[in-house]
Amino acid sequence: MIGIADKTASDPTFDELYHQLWWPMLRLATGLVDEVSIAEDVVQDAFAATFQRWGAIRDRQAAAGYLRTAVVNGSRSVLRRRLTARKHWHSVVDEPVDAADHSVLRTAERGRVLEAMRTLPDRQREVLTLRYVAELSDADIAQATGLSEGGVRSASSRALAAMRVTLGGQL
Amino acid sequence: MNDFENEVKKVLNHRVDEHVGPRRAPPDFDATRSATRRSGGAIGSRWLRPLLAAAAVVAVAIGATLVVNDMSHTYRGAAAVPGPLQTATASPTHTDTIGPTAPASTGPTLAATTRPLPTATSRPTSTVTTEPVPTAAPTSSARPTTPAATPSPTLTSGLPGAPPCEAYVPGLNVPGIRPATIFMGCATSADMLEKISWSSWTTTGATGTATHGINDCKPSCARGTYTYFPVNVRLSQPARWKEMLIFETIAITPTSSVGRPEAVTTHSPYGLWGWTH
Repeated sequence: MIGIADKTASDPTFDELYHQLWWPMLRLATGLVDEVSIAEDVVQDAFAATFQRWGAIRDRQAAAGYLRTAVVNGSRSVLRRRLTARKHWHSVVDEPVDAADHSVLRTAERGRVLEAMRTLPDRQREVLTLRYVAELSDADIAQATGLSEGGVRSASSRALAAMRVTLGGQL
Repeated sequence: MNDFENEVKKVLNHRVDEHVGPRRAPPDFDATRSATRRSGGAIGSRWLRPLLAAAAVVAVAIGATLVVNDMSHTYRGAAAVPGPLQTATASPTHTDTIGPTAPASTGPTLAATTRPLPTATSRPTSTVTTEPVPTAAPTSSARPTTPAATPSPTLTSGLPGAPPCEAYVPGLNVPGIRPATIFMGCATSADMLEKISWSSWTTTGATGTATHGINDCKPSCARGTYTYFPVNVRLSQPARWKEMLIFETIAITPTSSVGRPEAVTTHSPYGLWGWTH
């Protein structure tokens, strides 16, 4: 594994950070890009970028925030590429398709919520994912997305309001 | 958090859990992985390998389809070209009589009578020397030689398939001819040609005009600003990669004072550029 000298004994090593945060970052990226294989790539790229800059990160306690931002940016790139590709290619896109057993298990409410979620703008979906999947505070979401905290709260409330309208009180 | 938010949270987490499955240990960290991917070198992702293998299979299948189409359709810019794979495998000596610049009497009759684009005699004489298009019709039955600089197995003709770029989105890297869009960064859109209009599409090269879009990636590529400017595009150096025929070199020349010239040549199966149609 990777051997990186630490600045202080209390700072996490890169190894520790990797083992500690890989799974939550994978869940976050999966929530953002909705495809686990691509999410794994995004997360690995984020860790690789963090590793390359490890020596320059002064506050290693804040490395998680740096990493989270890298995951969000990587996911945005994936979504942009996906959008661009869909715009220019006329081939059939492999949409995520639920397996038969999933559709059996999925309740009507869940399906409606996910549909309502898909109608939201990317940034609002991103904020909801960071809040409810990664369970971040507004400040952390603001850091990861580049929005202000007020912008985060605004995006979140607008997203929820839009979903309420879309769902029409069915939830 | 109210009931509605709780329900949204529960649904989102359930969706993620469905995708990622039970918690598992991270894979071994490969510090070189990202750098090699970004430089277009070896593919380090364990996920991309099967994707690329699948993309190669699809590309071969579609390449075969193009051959069939070649035999039954007249291409606007390369009507005199028999199917590339058929040409390469059927009879080596046949290469003496093919290509858009071959005399009409030696090419397929249908092509000779229907090809609408510039003929050998009407093509500008300022053609770059690496593109072996004669400036006048040959007086003998011998065909002009193939590019001396072609690094791959020599081709005397060939409509291109496409180099299999990294498959960021499964199923999207579909080979094609006369692409309307070319990604200069392997399916990333930070440097791309759009609205390509091909004025010439032959077995040895293609020329056209396009809009070149470059993202300044500031502060990030996701938030960057695009600059667009008109350019001339030229594809050259036909080559073979596996069962496909490709143009290995793309050269871009701005037609206004804005923009920058670019020339990219790739010999890699994971080409620096791909195309779509």
